[in-house]
Amino acid sequence: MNRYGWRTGVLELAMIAVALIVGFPLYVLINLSLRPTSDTSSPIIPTTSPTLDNFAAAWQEGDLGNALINSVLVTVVSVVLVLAVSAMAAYPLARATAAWSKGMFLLILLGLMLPFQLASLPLYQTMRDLGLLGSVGALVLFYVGLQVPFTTFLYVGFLRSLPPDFEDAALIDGSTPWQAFRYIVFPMLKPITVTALVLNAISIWNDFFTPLLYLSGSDQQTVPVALSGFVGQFVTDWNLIFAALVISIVPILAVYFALQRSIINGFAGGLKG
Amino acid sequence: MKARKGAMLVAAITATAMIAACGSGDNGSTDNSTLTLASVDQGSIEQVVKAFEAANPGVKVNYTTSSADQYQQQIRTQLASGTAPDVMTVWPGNGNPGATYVLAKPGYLLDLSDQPWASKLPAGLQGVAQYEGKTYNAVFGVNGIGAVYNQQALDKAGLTAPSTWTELLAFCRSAAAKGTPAFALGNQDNWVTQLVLYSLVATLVYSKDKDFDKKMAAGQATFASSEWAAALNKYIEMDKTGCFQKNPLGTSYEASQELAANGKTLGIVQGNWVIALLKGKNPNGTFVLKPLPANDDPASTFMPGAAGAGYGVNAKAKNKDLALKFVSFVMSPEGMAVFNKAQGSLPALSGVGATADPSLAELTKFINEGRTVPFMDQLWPTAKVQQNMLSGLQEIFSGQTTPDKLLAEMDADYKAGL
Amino acid sequence: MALFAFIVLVPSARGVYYAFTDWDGLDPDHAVIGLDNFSAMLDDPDALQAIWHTLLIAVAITVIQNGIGLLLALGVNTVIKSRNVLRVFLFAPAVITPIVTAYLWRNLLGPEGAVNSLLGAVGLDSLQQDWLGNPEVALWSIVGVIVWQFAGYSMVIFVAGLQSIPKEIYEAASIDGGGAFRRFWSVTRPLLAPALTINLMLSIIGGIKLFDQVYALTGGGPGHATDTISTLIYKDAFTLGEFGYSIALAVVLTIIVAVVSSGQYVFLARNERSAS
Repeated sequence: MNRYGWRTGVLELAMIAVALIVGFPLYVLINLSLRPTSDTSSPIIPTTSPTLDNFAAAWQEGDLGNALINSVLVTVVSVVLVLAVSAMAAYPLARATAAWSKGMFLLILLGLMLPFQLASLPLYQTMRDLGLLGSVGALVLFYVGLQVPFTTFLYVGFLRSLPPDFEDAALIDGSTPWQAFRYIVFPMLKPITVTALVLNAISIWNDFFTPLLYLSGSDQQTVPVALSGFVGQFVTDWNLIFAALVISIVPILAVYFALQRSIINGFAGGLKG
Repeated sequence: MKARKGAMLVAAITATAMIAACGSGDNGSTDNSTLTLASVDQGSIEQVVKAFEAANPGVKVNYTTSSADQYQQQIRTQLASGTAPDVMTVWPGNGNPGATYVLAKPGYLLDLSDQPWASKLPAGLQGVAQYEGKTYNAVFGVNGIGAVYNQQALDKAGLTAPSTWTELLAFCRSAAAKGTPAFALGNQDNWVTQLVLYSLVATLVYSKDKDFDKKMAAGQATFASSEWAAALNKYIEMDKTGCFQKNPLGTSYEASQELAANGKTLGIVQGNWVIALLKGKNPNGTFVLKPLPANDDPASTFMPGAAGAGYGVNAKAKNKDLALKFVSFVMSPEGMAVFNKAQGSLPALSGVGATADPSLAELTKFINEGRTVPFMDQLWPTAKVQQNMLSGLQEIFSGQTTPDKLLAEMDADYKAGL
Repeated sequence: MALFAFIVLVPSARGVYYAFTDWDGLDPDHAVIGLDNFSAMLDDPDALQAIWHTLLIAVAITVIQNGIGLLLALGVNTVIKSRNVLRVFLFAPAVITPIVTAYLWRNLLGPEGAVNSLLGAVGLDSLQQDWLGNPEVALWSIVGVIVWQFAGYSMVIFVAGLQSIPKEIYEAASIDGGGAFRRFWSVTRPLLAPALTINLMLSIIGGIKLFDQVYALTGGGPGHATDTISTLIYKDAFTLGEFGYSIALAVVLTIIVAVVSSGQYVFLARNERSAS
């Protein structure tokens, strides 16, 4: 299991082959983002005249700098709130056996199932009545409400798989339930927290329609909304869009890459305790 | 107990975050030097806004642009909630969820009849810019549909553009035999499916019967019993003759441009807007828009030519004066020229003086001779007729339905919408 | 909890009201028409077909995406040297905005696209297809695109689950002399149950609600061959202006999701309990 034998080598090659297949469309994406508009050869052929002009143009024309700041702000604040709320909501739900916690869990599941279309218009009108339209606050509020059920669901599933022994021991030792949660449970939640963080960050980062609707009329915009400025019905410069897209996914991939190492290191010691 | 503590904490955090976020979210829409605008004219509205701001120092335009689909969803939600921007894209006529009739009927649009340009609109455009005799839509550009030929590809194949139906079929056969089919057809995007049909209908239905729309509305005509049936069959005959490249249903609008731009087909049946795109993909190419023949009498050939999307003013605009100023700017020679140039369209007001692109000479001639008809859907009572036509045409191409069934369905939808 | 109710539950409940009206989404006036929208659905072949497509897509995605996701997770949760890079790389598609993925794939799946040229290059000409233009194939092409994009997403959740399994358990099992497959079946599988539950729930709910990719890949076409409930909801509300009817469809969608996922949940919960 822990040795690097020939079987592992075969596995490694197989996995790399799979990765190449998966990566092929990504290669096309990057290839197109690097070529001038006049290069119309097949998208699978590497461009003969690579250029970074698309990136520069996308950055300037799309006002991406400003949009990136807004996107980062919205994503970070929303994700932190979502994780905090969900972890705290999930703990009693997973541990308590009382009937209300079961009911609550079903309610959360319901939130996961409700199609977005149902709430869209009434919610928009509520935000209007609260005077939140045109501010990033409305977006944060919206994402927290929308993502909490899903994240709580992740946490509950994970928590149920953890043995309650450690917290029970802590409770016997005289700590409060909050302390037990903060110092015993929360550290054990690290892998699922990182997973939830990445998954939430993606959906918030990529959302297009909500910021279009809620920020419309103000001079604020997020990256996807800025991107859509390039996509016209009749005039579409895909090379430019792909360049802008590459800029927009780099932050998320970087976060994931940074965190996924910390899952392994941080967690391996956690359970052995 | 645990849960309650948590909930309070959450409420506190959220409240703090909200207050912090609200502080930065002042959009200043009450201030009378700011105009709000929503548009689908990506790639051209940016230049118009810049020119408008330059001509009116101190004025700021906060605008959003989105594709037609998303725009329709956005604007309807906002209109129904009373939060729509001061100026917005409005499509001409009817039959589209963001069209003049649809938005003017519930009173969402400001009457623009007293604007100086309103009375100068040519008769063909007034019908689609007005609702019940009042003008609501500042339409600034005219578009036409026809066959756009790649001149170099034609020369290479040794063929010339056909001017009668018989010539067209022969043209298709020779082109296909040379390995470069006549026309690229991107039917994967369902709005493309209608273009060939509209081109044929313009000649077959409207050149003989200019009042066809009135007869339809009065219940005196139907799609199934009119020349629409002949047009639809000719469309299918074109496909069977090999006028189009292989697999039109798997070919997107984007892919169809590639084919025509690079001479893999001799041309494409599209709107004039495609010319700028083809030139973008092949800067050395020469592209010319010509009518698509539908019968053997060239003198009776008509082209679909109609107003493109224009701008309307919100009846509840926060900044009405500035909104009217913006619309006047759009309709001024200066504003219109910026739009027309960026979109490759012709000006809606004659005598505006912009010299038209030579590739559009035929379209200009047809407009001046009165041989154009509005896009058919602009005068249909509901969007359903067009939507079912578009998916029905895809179904015909994939053998899932027949022309007779499609026309009968369109008639039923039309009647239901009256 | 209050916030969740405020953002999701209350507006949804208010939204349901429109299912019983003939509102067009725009006009200030509307009439309450009771159950008419629901009975109209039964006479609407497009709606019935869309419900069938929705279920088909959801089941196919759930099975294929999780099967592949699990294999990938087992693969990268070993000592292979490229594991860290692979974990990022395989996950990368999930980060891209669905609309853009869809555009990319439209290009790749075109008649002259990269997939067909690749098949031609390796001598599999007979497999060349009009992937999105052939109504028989289009639905499966969509499933393929979704699996491509989200298998890495499932993998990440499985990896988190695998890492919660203490190494000692494996060591004990290998001392007992179980083969690789037996070790997986009797040790890993039961301990992976929570991750499996999460993944199955997410992919089935995601599959049923699927919208962006279908809309951008085929727009529901050719004809109605790939229409799902969500694309129909969208078209009815915003293209045809039949807001009430579209909300009625959304209510039906909710009921389907609720029935399927609670059935699945009960089954999996029982499975989880019997496993531990």
